[in-house]
Parts: sequence; structure tokens; C-alpha cells
Amino acid sequence: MSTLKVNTIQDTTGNDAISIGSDGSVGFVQTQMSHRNLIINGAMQVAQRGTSAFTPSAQTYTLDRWFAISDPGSKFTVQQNAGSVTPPVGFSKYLGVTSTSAYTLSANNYNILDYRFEGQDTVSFAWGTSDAKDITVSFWVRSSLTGQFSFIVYNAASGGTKRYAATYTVSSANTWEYKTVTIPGDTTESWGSDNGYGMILRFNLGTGSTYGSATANAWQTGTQFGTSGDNSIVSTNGATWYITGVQLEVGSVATPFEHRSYGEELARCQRYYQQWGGNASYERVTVGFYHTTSQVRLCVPLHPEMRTAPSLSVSAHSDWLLETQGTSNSNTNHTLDSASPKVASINVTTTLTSTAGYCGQLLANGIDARLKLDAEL
Amino acid sequence: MNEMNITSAQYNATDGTNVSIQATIDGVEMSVPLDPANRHYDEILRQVEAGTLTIQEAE
Repeated sequence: MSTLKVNTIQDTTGNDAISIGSDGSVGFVQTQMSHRNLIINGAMQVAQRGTSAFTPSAQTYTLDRWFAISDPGSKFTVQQNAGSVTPPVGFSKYLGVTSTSAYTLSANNYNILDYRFEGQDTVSFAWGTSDAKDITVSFWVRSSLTGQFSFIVYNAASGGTKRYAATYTVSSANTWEYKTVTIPGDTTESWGSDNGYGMILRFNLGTGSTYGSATANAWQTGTQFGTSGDNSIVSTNGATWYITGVQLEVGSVATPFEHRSYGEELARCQRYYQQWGGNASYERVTVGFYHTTSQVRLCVPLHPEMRTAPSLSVSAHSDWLLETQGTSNSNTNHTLDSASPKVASINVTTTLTSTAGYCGQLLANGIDARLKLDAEL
Repeated sequence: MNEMNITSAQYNATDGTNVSIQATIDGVEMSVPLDPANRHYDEILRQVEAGTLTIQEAE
């Protein structure tokens, strides 16, 4: 047994790294002890939109918070646990990309996977100031292709131009590999600080020369989001690229993945997307009143508060019923009457006529009914 | 880049006031609030500004 008595541990250049108080408390000077990971759903657990494969004909959200774009469209699929391989130790889910063909990229083609941050969630980077901090991106990746891949972080705020292209190498096919990349802070450009676009983390899955010639591992301006020499997943039929454990944190050290409970992660995702239905065949959602003899106005409180007023869509209008006075009938339209981050008011046109002022209840007409509210970036 | 494919757009009105836009975006019918922070509304405004989309008046 031996004892080391210190009150500060520094790095090799003299910067304080760990402080130890006289009461035995410990503080990390540059790294948060909790809430380090700014990525929501980095463990790919939450899939509110479903676990079937998504094929982005142009662009679509897939697993929660993960946005796929395919140009010219449908060149890959995205699915939770695609291929049913064993995830890395400590994880149960991953996001799986599978190429749908051996596509020859044209110059302007791009196939990408995005994570989009609100500006206010990245202000701790202090980017655009002389105090700008490094960030570190870490993740587990498994691909059927070996060689160079890349991702970029770029300023998506209005007027933003800066981007940093980072490369990583997959050494062994069909093997989970842990990757870390540290990106120096940007000191020169204004980055978003509100509920609009901030930074975008964009993984390159196959990009033509127009957008695929960024300078690797450097800050730059322009419209590039891939580097020359990158592998193209979409150019090999059936090629796979799986990812999980994505973490983005302040500092130059990749700390262990910050696991959060499913409930906490789901609530974070619901700031951007909420949906009803799918839990029972005749799931009752909310009540309202007949605004006219054929239109019912429903109030849907939003918990948690969403990023902005959401857009409304339904799986199909006839997937939903209106019930009043012991009978129900199908709906023909659902539109927003008003919306804020806290509440959505929905006008439902129904074939079940009644008296204005009477109560009406919205219920699902089967297990496939969905009512969706989207406040994604 | 990253444009949404918007094939129709029409205002929804309540008591004579426009309250939202019914639009078909990337093949999905959506009801879009008139909030510039909403990505769908922002894109509708951008395409209207570009002259590639017209929002029909409410019925």
C-alpha cells in the first residue's frame, strides 16, 4: 500500500488536467464527468420510426436523430441491427448501412449519413473565439470494405462555410473497430447558438468528385464532404457499413462511451420527433370537440417540449377513427390548426358527423396507425 | 443540395386565417406550421423565393 498526495495532475505541457480538493473531491478540468456525449442516440437504441429497413429515395430520418441522403436515390438501406451481427461489447444495437447495387458514382452524386446538432448544444466548444476547444469524435465501425473512409464536421448555421474533413481506416473486413479523431477548435467563424442549425457531423458513404475532394484532416471552406481516396459503400453491391457508440465530446481525449438509460435517450429524441400509435389496435390518443359538424379539434400537449413547432403527418388518414357517443368512423383529413414547441392543435375531418361542441376522441384503426410530429433539423 | 422534393403546397385556414400549409414533401403529405424554425416551412419559403414553388390559397 502506498499513497500519492497531490492536489493537481497536469499534462506534459503544464495544463491542469485533474484537480483534487482537500476534502478528497476530484474534478476534471477540461472534461465533463457526465453529459460528455453531445450525440443523442449514439448507441442506436431508439428507433421510433421503426426497425424495418429505410431506403432513402432522396432523404429521410432513419434511427432517431440519424438522417440519410442518397443521390441519385435508393443506393443504400439503413436499418437497426441490419445483418444481425454481434454488436461491440457493451452495446446491443447498431445502425447498419447496406449497399443496394454496384453503383458507379457520377461527379455530383453523394450518399451520406448525418447527425445534426442544434447550435445551442455546441456553444461549449467556444468555436469562433480564441478560446475554441478541441473536440473528439469516437465510434465503433464495422465494414465489409477495408481502407480509407471519412467524415466531416461543418458549420451549417446561416452563412457558415467552415468544415473539417477527418479520415479513418477500416483495417479488417467485417470486424468491429474503435476509431477516435480529435478535431482542433475553429477560431475564426461564427457558429450557431440557438435552436437552429449548428454543426453537422456527416459520414461519407460514397461521393462523386464534385463533393468528394476535401483536404483530409484540415479545416477548409467549400462544399466538400468527402476526401479523395475514400471507399464508396454504394459502389459494391451488398457492401455493409455498421456504426454504433458514436460520441462527440469536448477535449482531445476520447473517454469511454457515456451510456445513458433508454428512457433518457428516448426523451432526448422526442425533442425532435414524437409519434402516437402502434401500441394497441384501438389505441386512444387524445380528445377534443366538434368545431363543426364534421371537424373535430384536438389538443396534443408535447412532452418534452420540441425544438420548434412540429410538422404533422399520419400513416394514412383512414388509419385513424373519431369516436363520439358510443360509435366511431374513419377520418378523411388531419391538418395543423396551430402548433408550438409545447402543444399541437389538430383539425380532424371525420365521416362521423355530430353536433358542434360535442366531445370526440381520436383512436387508432389498427396497429399500423401512426400520427407523427417532426421538429427535426 | 439536400433539397426537399415538394410537389404541392396549399394553405390551411381556420376562420379565414392561414394557420398551416398542407404540402407533399418527398412523397409524404404533411401539415407544416408557419414557423421559420421548422425545416419544412423553411424549405417551402426557400423554394417560393427561388420561384420553383407556389403556395395555393386555402379552399
